[in-house]
Amino acid sequence: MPIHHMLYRCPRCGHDPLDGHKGKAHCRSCGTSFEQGRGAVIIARPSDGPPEQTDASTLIAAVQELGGPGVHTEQGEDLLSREARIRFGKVEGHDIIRWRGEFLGFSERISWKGEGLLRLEGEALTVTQNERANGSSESFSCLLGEIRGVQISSIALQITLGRNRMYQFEFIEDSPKRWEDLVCLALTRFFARSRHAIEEFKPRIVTTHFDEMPSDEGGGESDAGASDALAPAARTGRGIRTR
Amino acid sequence: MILYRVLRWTMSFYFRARMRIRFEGERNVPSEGPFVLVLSHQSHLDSLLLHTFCPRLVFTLAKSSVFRTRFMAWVAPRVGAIPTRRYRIDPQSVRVALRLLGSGHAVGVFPEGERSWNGKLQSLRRGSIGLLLKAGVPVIPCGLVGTYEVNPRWGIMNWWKVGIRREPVTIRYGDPIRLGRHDDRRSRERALPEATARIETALHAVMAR
Repeated sequence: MPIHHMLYRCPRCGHDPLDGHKGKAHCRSCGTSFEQGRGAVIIARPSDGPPEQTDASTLIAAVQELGGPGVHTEQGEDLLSREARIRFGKVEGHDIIRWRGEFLGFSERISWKGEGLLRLEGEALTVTQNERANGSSESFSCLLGEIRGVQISSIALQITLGRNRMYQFEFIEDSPKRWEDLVCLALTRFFARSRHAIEEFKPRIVTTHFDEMPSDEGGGESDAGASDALAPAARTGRGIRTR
Repeated sequence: MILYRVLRWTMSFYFRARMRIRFEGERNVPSEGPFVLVLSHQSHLDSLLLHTFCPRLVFTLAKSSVFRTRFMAWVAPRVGAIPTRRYRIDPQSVRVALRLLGSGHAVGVFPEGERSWNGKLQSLRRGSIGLLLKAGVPVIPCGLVGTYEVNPRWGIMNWWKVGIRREPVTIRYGDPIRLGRHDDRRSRERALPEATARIETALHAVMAR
């Protein structure tokens, strides 16, 4: 995966996004470029100083500190809304994998539905599909409360809904890691409103109620009054494991 | 497993030309009988190195998308890969892993479920630890130290760069851990936190530089 997928925001000035080309990431705002040095060293070349050697841990922490996947408004709000061009598909069936006649397991068959715009806005994740010549189209939309699992697979984001329906989104320009961080952060805030903390996002979301957590981790400051906003499935824990 | 053995032999030449490989704790790998190898996942190279250099032939749980092309669906099972659908709980891969262990084979598991972005150990998936508890066989932690430096998740690897300035890689096996056998779900749930902590500690130890 290219370096600008990991560093989706400039770790020096916070500008979003970084431009990427052939293993290099470049910030249009402060002029710093980031490239792989020897081994896992990342060389940051600021426009106004000598090159510095750094590592992925430091830069990822800086990206998170400067806003992570969120969008900062001029009013200082941290909004979790974004859109990106994608190619999306859905699991429709499985191929059986055998070895020496023995059944080993399944490999999912992705049926590609076309290109469109993936948008996270409020509590909804939707795809607006580009018009297709034959007029056939299948859209995607879900509420955060319907999501059962989130993960990256290679350059795609996989979202699992109830009954193991999995949708795969391949990003044409944006970073899949940003979208994983974004959806996970949106889900964390969403569940916090019903006083749940997410323990695990993959393969399925596992939550713990704040009251069951040790006191120093508890989120007593969460907006308990907003718990009604939870989707029915999340309230009942159907498909979402709650400890 | 003819293809597996042929590829092991061939790849060992390549990797030795490319990397300066050291082995530590190989005596911890049983010469016979079932065991589970748990590995930290830092690079694409991890499973290739494991399959090439582990003293025993190992079957590893691999993401099912690897098997999507016809070629890979044919090759991967012949080199010891078992498909796992990572986007859901996949009982079939657990059944196959237990079946292989039951017939005395070794199974490799990457309990983090994906490669690390920064070379550090990530949180372990509950399902992977559940499999270890259900299997009840010795668990051997294995650290592949240096693969992150050769091919990090965010980087580009030059596969042709061989011979000069070989990168150091250490394949380190830790002492076997015995978690006991936990057949019923409640017992596994109870044992899960302690088992996770033990595996994490063991993985940190074998990953130390």
